[in-house]
Amino acid sequence: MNINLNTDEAGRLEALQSFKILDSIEEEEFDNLTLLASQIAGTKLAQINLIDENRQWSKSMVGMSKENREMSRDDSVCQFTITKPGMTEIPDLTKDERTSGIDYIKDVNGFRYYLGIPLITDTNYAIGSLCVLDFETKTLSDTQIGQLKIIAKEVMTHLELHKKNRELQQLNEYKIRLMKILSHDMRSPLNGIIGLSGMLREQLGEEKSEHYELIDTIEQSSTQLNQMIDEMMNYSVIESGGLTSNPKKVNLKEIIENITRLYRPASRIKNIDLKISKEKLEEPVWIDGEKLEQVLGNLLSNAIKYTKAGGTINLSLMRKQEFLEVRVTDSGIGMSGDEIENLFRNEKKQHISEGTNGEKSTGIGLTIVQHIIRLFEGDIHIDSTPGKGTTFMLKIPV
Amino acid sequence: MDKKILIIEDDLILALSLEMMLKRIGYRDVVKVETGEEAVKTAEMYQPDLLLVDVQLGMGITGIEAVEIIQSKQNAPAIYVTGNSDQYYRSKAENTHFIDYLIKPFTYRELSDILCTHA
Repeated sequence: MNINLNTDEAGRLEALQSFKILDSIEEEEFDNLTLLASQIAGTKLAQINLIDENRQWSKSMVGMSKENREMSRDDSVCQFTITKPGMTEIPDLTKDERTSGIDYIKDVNGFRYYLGIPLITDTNYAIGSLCVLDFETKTLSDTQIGQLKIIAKEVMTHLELHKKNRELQQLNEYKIRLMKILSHDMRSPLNGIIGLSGMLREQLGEEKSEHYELIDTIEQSSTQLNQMIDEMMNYSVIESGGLTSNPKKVNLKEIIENITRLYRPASRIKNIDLKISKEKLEEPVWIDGEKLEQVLGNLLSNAIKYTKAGGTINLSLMRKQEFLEVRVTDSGIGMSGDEIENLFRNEKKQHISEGTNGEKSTGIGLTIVQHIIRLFEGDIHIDSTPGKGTTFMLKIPV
Repeated sequence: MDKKILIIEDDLILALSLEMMLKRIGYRDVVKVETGEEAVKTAEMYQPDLLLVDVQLGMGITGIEAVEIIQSKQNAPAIYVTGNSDQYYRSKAENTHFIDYLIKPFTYRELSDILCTHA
């Protein structure tokens, strides 16, 4: 090993702390490596030790009582291992002046053999060691030592992976927090636009002028922007695991009326025939109405986006005993088998296709639908033919 | 329409838009502040008849807390506006005297209907 260890103790301690491994719980992946080390070396004991400022702490140990997990750094043999990059072998601990004075070595039945390999970070700090110990002196072959070195590297790989994982989790949490803040804060200025354009419309009164069209466009843009903010907000809630269902007694006819009122204008502008059919919806059902509305809204908004002018969209809701069956069928551009497969997988959606009128999308609407349906313990089925259209079928227990 | 309205909104664009909307509806006496603390101080001198309040404000006390303090001294009902439908704030608002709880973005018509019906 031709590396120079970084020897400044403050930097070494900082490197050790960065792994957040001290005083952590026992983990099988490390215990397996320790077990393997003791089997390869043929020793009764093996440990993964970390050298803190004043103590040695064992992440994993084989053949030793858990009470010995922590000891003073002065009593540690591994403290010597971390001072040089190669291995440290002490065939008889009682005969080495550095270790002969340590109590548990002075003991007649104490340790005799020690071999340690430093655990070195990618910044060249030795934060601890993988060591094997025995009650009798012995010699290990080059092959055994070579294998132990591989295990020591493996320990470091696991530690680095843990660290990277934690960093990624933190980054993800930061992303979600940012999305929450953004989606919340964007609503205020957006409300300024929506409020004032409505005011302008009223100011114009009955007079139909080109200004009317301009206001229409401003309103459409802000509605679309608001929908994106909604999606972002919902997505951040889903990602942070906070999506919950709040079922209440709901009148399905009211939900359909709300949805129709919201999406009729968009379909009219695109000259799409939006047909609604409802069957056996007289009795109220027990469901989270807001979320059901969101599911229907997202499916309808997608159908409108991907259906050309002159097309048709059918929304049907039917009560079938303990289930609510929802179908959204459009005569839109359709999807291939691969596209359907990738539909609910955000990581695959590098390129979100635009709507037939160039409508933009965040591409997370369907992910939200999928999460809500899963929350409802329902099923989604998709049937689609490229060029002919798509049908989304939902079966939701009520 | 001669009622005095105090707007408590930390987003300057929305605050300005609200002021313009209120004036358009016909309210001539409108004052706006950015924080809850400022609202409490201003309310003492200005003696508003109605409070138009953002539930969550960027700094200091929340809009609801400001309303609680103001209403402990004078009788001015509130109309709340908020960026999310969080139940926590909704239940806090229940302890105050309020006319409506609007989720952003609301329209000019919604605001003017509420004002014309209740305020």
